[in-house]
Amino acid sequence: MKEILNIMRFDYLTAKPLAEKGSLLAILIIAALCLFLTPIAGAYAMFIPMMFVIPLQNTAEKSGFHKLYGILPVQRKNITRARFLYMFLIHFIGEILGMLMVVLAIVLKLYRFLPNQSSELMQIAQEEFTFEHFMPFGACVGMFAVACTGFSYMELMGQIFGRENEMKIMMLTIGAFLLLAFGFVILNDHDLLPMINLDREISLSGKILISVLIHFAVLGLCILFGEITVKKLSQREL
Amino acid sequence: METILEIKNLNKAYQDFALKNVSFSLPRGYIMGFVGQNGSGKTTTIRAILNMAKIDSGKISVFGLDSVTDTIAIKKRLGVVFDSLYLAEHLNVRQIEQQLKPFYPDWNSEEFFMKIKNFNLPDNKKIGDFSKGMKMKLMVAVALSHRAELIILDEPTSGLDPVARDELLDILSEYIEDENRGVLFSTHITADVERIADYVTVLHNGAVWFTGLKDDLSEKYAVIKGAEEDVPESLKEKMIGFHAYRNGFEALIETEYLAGIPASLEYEKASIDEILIYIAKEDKHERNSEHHEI
Repeated sequence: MKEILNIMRFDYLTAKPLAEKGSLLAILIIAALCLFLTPIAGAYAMFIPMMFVIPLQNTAEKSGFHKLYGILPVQRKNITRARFLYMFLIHFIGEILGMLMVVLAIVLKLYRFLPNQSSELMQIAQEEFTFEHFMPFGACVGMFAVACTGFSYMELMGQIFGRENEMKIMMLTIGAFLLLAFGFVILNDHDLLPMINLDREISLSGKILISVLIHFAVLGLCILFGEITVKKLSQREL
Repeated sequence: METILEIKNLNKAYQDFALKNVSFSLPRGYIMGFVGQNGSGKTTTIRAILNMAKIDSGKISVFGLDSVTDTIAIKKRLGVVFDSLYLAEHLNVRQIEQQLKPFYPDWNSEEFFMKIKNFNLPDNKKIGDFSKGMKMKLMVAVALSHRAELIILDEPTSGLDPVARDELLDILSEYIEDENRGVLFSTHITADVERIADYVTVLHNGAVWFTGLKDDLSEKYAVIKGAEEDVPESLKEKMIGFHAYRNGFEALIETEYLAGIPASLEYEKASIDEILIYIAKEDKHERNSEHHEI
């Protein structure tokens, strides 16, 4: 475990100098949007983890980290596992940050200090700035799940098939996803899919439980992607 | 003598290249120059020592430990310098220290920064902006700061200017003053080997051509020259890289065959550079012969 933590720390310290200025700026912009206009903007905090992930992949390639990985007293499989856990953790931190902004927005209700309080837009805002409104928190969880799974998937593909093929893989994945969505719509139009009642009201505790389950599912996916990558890479030399 | 590194019958085959029964050992307290032409298998051997390349057969022991099963324990006590930087180029020396420190139980920050100061490296400049010599010194500082007992250098002096090369060799000479340490450095700049190595391993076409004390190598071979017609046929067969010119010939020969050679032939001690050149010539000659046979 210590090896994994050391590699996660190593990855963070690699990305930090490249990400810190951009992420600080992003935090300020997202916080301003979230605190004054709409708490749902807190979900945009998921763009911050990207800044700590993308430079890492580029640096590893550019700086010949494969040599360093051959020198460091760390098992190779733990280097790969650490990368996927880093993905999860950094996205989770982004999500917590987003949620904190949402909570602050609801508690402080800074929109009250904006002009035109009687406008229609402000009436909608008032409703959003309440704890009864789960949507901003749900958006944070959703963005976390999509971003973390997406980046972990790209990491898996990039490590197995090479970074140079990343764009091709991304296009193929989006294509496959669109095809599935199109198929779903067609089937649904012809009433070939079983009816699921999505209008059912879910209680707050139910929503929280679903959110927790989503986190476990994403963590499980990250671990699974990590293990698949470990297995594939173990056949290769550094 | 206790060996710090021992390789026995190492075999590793790739599609177009193979290491064939590579065996050599390095005793503690000595520097070994690992020489050979480009593509002779030096880097593959080093990668096998580091468990970066999977070996087909053979055994590699470092500090008496197995290079495959005990690789983590070995790497904690091993320093490695490659021909190019393997650290994140956008970081400065301080950030690099922060990154690497947790991996080595014996890491000494004070020693690291002292080395950085002694090597005149700036600690707040991006390492990507360092010159090649500075990058090399940084890698050496990293290797020395976790009290590595064995340092492996893969072509460390290639691309360095003479001053930087000289400095690096001085650092290695100083490092080996502790008799419990060892240095293996691969190079095709044989002048570096002549200067600091105690032992030499010559690799040729993936096989060990010579391994032993550097002085034994220079004692063992001589460059012989003279008129081709003065060379007895029996002696010609023993020559390595025989090459006839308009006014005579030149070849490498083992000194044991020099007794009783005609007085008209001249010979002198062969340098490592010359040895490598004649081995390559011999190879070329063999290829030509094969070609003729076909």
